[in-house]
Amino acid sequence: MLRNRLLGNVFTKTVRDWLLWTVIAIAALWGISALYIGIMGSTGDLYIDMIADMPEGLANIYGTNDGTPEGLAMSGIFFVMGPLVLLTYVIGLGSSAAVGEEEAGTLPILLSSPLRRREILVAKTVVALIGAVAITAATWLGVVVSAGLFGMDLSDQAVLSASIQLLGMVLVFGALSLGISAWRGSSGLGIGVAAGLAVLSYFVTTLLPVVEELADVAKLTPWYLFSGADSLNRGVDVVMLAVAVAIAAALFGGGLYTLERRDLKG
Amino acid sequence: MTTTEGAPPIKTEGLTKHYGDVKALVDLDLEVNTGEVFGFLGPNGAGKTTTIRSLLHFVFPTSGTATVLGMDVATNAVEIRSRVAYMPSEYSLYPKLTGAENLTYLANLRGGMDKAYVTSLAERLEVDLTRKVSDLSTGNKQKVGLIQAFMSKSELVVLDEPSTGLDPLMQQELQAMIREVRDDGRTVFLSSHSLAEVERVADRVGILRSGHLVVVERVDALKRKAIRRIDLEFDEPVEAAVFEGTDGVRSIEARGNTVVVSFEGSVTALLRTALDHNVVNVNSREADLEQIFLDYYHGNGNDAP
Repeated sequence: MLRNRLLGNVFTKTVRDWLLWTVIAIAALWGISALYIGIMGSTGDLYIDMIADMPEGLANIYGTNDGTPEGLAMSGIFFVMGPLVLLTYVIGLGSSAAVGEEEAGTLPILLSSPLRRREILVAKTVVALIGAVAITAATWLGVVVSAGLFGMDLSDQAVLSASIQLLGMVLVFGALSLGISAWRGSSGLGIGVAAGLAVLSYFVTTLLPVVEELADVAKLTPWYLFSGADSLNRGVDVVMLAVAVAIAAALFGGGLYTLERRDLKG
Repeated sequence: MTTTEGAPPIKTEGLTKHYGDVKALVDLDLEVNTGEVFGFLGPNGAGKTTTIRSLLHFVFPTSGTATVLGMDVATNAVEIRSRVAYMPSEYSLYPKLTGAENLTYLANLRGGMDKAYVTSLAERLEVDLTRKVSDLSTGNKQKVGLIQAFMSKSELVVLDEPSTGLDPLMQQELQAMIREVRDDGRTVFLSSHSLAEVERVADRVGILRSGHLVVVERVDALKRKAIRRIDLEFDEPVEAAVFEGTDGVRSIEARGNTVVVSFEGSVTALLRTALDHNVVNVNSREADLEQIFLDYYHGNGNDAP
């Protein structure tokens, strides 16, 4: 029976536990993609005019805006709603991977089994990573299918590039949530810091370039690893992607290191 | 295998754990023997759970060493846990899974389960494993936790406050299960704040108070050490002074023809003194073990630091 087979180890049990969240995230992004593409395809000109009248900083919040319905739809998907859904997913599950069992009180029973702490953390992180990749792939698919349905002319390659670049950026925040949670044994702290930094870096990256002297500061935020790449127009920026993955890996490593060296709670 | 053949199931030397300024455990020297039920007694907050969590490497000792089944807990935690069953005092099961699914998962992590044995344990403890854990009462959740600890037939079973939430009948069943483990040559480390629970099954007890191990004794030896009371009825009034200086006598109270004597250890000297008079009746009261433990708990025991 599949239900029991998924209770075979920490990895499969975590897949079982988190599958619903992954499906919800994919469904949300499909819905958002269809909505954006459908609306922008039919009434995009209204929004283009509206955004054109906005101050530059405010308009930047909507991401890249090349004055086309296609550009506006992509901005909405990849600069606003896509990151929101993906960040919620990776920040939440990153923290849960680190301290979910500890805070739920199930860790003493789980660790009565011959498991290393790192085995649990790695298994759960891999599931979260697979989930994030699946959501990214599903986002690409959802956008491409929606574009086909609503007759919007989008480059599959550009959508794929943006999806991959976005994934790299959100992994930084997911790993930050994981690292802090693992270090301090607190999901609240991990989620709070990661989510707060995500929001802050979003606004810093979008608003600071308006002030010429501060434009370079915007490049120091994790968000710039996505927005600065301009992957919708230029394809995947491999260097920025590599930097994002390296930062995420370092944060994960830090979380793993501290988790193995602190007293467990409960 | 890194175990040492014939090594004690649990051995600690100078095991100390501080949480900031709080000294949860201080210089614990303890040795548990193979095939015994060792009762680890102490009031809440005495350091019992900290000891267990140190042994399982959930927390890192501030100083000292500990071995379990001959293996250093600092370097062999996983190997140790593969051979030790553990029931924590505070834990949660997975609420969305049934009792059976919880046990299946935990058994899979150990390499499998003896389903027939699990079923028999469930029948003994009268728990329905087909129900979701979130629908179970506290007592029934505790039973699932107990099955988890017993189902692996590990050579060392560590139970931390295992009877919490169990009714008296189930407590008796649990005690029977603990005895069966011992009869099977395996070892049980039973942590509890309940004297009654430990007294019924333990061969030896260690009493912990404020992080200090104040005594380790066999239960029967501890009883012998207890201060008991004896009522001696004579055919005429006898003065209390008659018993002063008698070996083991702690206090004397004369009430008419009756003398009530509190004493410790052997009663022989007391009876010899009494037999110098015409004894009409003797009423010996059972050692008040509860009082011994309270004495140790409160620092009145002879070995208390």
